[in-house]
Amino acid sequence: MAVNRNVVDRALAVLRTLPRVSLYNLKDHEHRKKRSARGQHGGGTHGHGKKFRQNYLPLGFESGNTPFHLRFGMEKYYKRYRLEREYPPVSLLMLQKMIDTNRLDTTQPIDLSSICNSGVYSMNINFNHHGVNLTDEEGFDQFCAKINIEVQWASEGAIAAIERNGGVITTSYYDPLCLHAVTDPARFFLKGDPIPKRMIPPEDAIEYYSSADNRGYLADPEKVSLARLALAQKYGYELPKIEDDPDYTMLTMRKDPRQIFYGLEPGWVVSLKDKAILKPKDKELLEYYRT
Amino acid sequence: MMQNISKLFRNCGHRFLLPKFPMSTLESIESNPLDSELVPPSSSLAKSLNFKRKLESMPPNMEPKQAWLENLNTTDEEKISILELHPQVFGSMPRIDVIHKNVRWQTFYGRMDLHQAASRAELPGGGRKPWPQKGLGRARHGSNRSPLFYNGGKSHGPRAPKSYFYMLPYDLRILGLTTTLSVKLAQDDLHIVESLDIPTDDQQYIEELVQTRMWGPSVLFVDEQDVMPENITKATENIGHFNLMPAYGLNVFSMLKHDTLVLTLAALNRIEHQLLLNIHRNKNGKHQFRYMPSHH
Amino acid sequence: MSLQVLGRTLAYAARRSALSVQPARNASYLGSTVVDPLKKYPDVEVSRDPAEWRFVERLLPMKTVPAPRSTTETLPSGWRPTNPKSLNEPYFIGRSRNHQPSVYLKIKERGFQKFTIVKFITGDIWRLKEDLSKRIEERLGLKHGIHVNEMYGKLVITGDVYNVVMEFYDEKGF
Repeated sequence: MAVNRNVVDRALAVLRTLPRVSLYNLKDHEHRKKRSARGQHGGGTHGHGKKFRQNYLPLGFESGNTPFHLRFGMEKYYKRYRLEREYPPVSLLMLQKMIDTNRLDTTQPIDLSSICNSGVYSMNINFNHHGVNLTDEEGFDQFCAKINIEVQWASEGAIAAIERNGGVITTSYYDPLCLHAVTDPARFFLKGDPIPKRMIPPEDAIEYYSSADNRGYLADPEKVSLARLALAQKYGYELPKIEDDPDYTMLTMRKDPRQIFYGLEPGWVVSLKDKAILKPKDKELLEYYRT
Repeated sequence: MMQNISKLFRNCGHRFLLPKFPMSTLESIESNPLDSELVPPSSSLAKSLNFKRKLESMPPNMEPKQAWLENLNTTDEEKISILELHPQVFGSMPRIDVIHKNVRWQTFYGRMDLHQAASRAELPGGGRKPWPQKGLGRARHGSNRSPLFYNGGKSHGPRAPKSYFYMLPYDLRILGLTTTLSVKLAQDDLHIVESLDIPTDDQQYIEELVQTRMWGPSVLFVDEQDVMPENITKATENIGHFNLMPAYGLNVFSMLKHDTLVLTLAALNRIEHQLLLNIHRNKNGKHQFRYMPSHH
Repeated sequence: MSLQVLGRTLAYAARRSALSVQPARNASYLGSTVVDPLKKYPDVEVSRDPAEWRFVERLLPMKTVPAPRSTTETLPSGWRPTNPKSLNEPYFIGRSRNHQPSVYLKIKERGFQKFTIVKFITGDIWRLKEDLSKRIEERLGLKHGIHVNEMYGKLVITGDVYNVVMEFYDEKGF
């Protein structure tokens, strides 16, 4: 409530002396009168008169002059815009804030689902957003949480900051169909569809997700541990031993390349109402989902 | 805003809005109001109920609102205890404009106008040219059902169906409820009772009760669930201005239409909990999702 | 969705293309496909294992904003809980719904118009205006116009004085 409490209490006290608020003494604020489009012949309803209904003007119509979207010819630079994937950023400072305010549970692995569920991060699949880009622009020095995090893009500094604190970071790809399930799992479960299996990244992304330097989910784990050492030397911190960590099981939890939810396999149908999971028995289906 | 109420005030009412008890009573309570001394020994229910209400998510700078817990088993009122109410629900700014918006929305969203004036095409006949184009010295016409003709069609009349449906923003509807509850409490039109159990199913009993306690001519009794105790259901059945309502039916229009609002403890808990849930809700998930049934 | 509607989805699973992006297509009753007799659909095993169900519950979001941690220290991100001593001040600056400080920098007109806004103020707002005005003049050497909205408990200070206001805010412990 963005109101001064003194004013609230005073207002409520004034109400005690006034007549009872009823259906017959209500009034809204006065609103500014709508200013219709000016012009004798083009103003108001744009030449269609007041009494006609549903005469919607074409989208983009600018009352006669050549509309903006027709003034310019096609430009080469936006030809492949639908293939340009975008990753709305989350800075390390933002991540630390989410952890500090209990929006994220650090005792569990953090993935795109938990970040979307926190209510602080939003992405729109229709705008070609493919997930989280963890940046080190802000919060590199402040970040001090030990987490197992799975993002879609990460800068080198972000990886260093997480590994420095004894955490684990992985970058993984979700194809658009899986993104609908991952970004809003509650809504997806209500549909009653089987959990989809993740598809491999497109051609221009495979290199990124197979590289150990980016901690890609398709990279060789041995190369990843070498890369961790190399990064520690580069940034000048001692790499903590995860094997000795009491949270070892949590930190080493990883999803299968075909899996989108921890602990749940593709092909399963989750029934929230019955609180049951339905698993296919058919051999063909099982083969399809497990390969 | 305050001036609007006094300007537009028409129904003087038959009484002033005096507090039901002198304010000094609250101030004179030095001891803990939840001490057993306040509880009249005759009220056996009082001993079994827990009066200390836990207020969820209280901001540090806000103090709770207070209201009496009353009884319904005697005609005369017995004040059992003082209850603490959440200030964000019962002490919010009295936004008369928001109340107006809610009442207007409730009035209009179900409205459907079905009246239709026949156009020239819908009337019988009118296909033949009434008289030749030329030669008669009369005005030229093509149909005797044109709007120019007597008994002809109406060119721009009401066209059915016309809907006035619109949805008031969710947060405004929440605000409407909190504002109306605050207004009711501030104007001494809110009473909280343990339950809607009354000793008899006699209509006269409830009428006498309301008369004695100077509750408004119309009373809205709100309980948590939609199955009400038998006695009160029978007693209020033939009285149009005493109405029973479950908590999920609580709305701004009904609260204003009835002069007095009576809540049971269970209803109070439910209403406060639900409103606070929505005031502090986490904005995740897609926009349409909140209208979907919740399974968890 | 209940058990009765499960079957249709499994049969169509194999045919579903990865590029068909139509969210919530069958999310409503009317939009859903009709269920054929269950015999037509492949066999299914129902599991109510609580260990597995915990993974499902993990994916369901919190309905309300979580309560802030019960701590008195400033946390690594800079977030600090309200200090109880701040309640003794003649005024109080509340937190937003997400328990964050309610001091905002508003930039308009392509960067030429800057305002610092303080919201959720209760108590003696005029006193706060004076205190802030003094503090800004101390730090920046210039007087900045402050607009008071007593009704909404809001102060609008012209210019970018965010850091000065935040320093004042943290000092008082709101």
